Amino acid sequence: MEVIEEMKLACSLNLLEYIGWKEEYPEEAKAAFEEFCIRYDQAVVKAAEIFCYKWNLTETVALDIVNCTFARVWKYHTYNHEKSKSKEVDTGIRRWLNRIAYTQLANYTNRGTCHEPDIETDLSLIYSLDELVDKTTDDEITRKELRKQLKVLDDVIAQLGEKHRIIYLTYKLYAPAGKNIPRSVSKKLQNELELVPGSIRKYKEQAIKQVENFLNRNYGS
Amino acid sequence: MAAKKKSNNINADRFDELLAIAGYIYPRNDKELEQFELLYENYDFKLKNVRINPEEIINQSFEKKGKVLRLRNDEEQQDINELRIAARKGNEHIPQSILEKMKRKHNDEDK
Repeated sequence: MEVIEEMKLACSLNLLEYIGWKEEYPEEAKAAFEEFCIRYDQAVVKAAEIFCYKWNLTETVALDIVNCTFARVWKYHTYNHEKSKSKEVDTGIRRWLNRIAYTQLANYTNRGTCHEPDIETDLSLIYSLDELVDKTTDDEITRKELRKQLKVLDDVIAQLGEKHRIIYLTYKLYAPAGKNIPRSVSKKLQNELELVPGSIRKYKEQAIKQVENFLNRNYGS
Repeated sequence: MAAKKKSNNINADRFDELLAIAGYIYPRNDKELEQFELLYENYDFKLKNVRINPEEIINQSFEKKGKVLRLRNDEEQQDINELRIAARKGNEHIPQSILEKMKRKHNDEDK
């Protein structure tokens, strides 16, 4: 009881540290994990539902992804706030959890087990990407303008076929700088979509071209 | 007019930013996360108030329930609507394009 009360007052970074003591102090680690789940599960559940909705997957899959995300936290509490570009610990942890959720989503299969990422496929380890996108838009836009832009975005994505969309978004996640995607992710795409590597490249190029054409045609970018 | 131009100014960088704000990819910085969470503040979540069970996670006893049921896309919905109309009218033929699609789908499932 005392342990639980103590955990309620602990900073989230400390909770992650206590989770790492599961061998030496299992009771404290368990209490820390329970408190960590109470603090963050709602944010991850909501995010996962949106992510799945955008990838044309159901909320059943979203729930799997949330469980797998927290299973990952229990196993490897690897959040490093110094590497994160977030000002607040809480924001940094939510971003880290979203990346773990996305690792699970992008590698989701119906095998009945969570994806065990390696160093290449674990999106939660990508910190360098933050530097690429640090240049946020120079002018604040209104909510109405943002909604208008998001409507455009949905129109663009909606015009891609199922395979084009999956390939396009997977490349966006794993190869933001136009590099190759990890071999195991590529393998998964081949299996799931029943395509050979050459076809995947073709689909990717077509999708990029389609997005570019749409933007050029309608918005003169 | 100027405002219209501003809201339509979507270049490749902005497009990626929008992908993150909308949830197609994960939010890559604090600002994107803030906008993502704001955007869906009043969204009608199906998993509202769903809590996870830490005990099941620790014991690895949670079950993956997921069947990857894809939501219907617009094209499929269109096909279904056409089929409905054909079924209602009864005396009309099902469009050839739909028949071919059904055949293709059927063959795919047999593989």
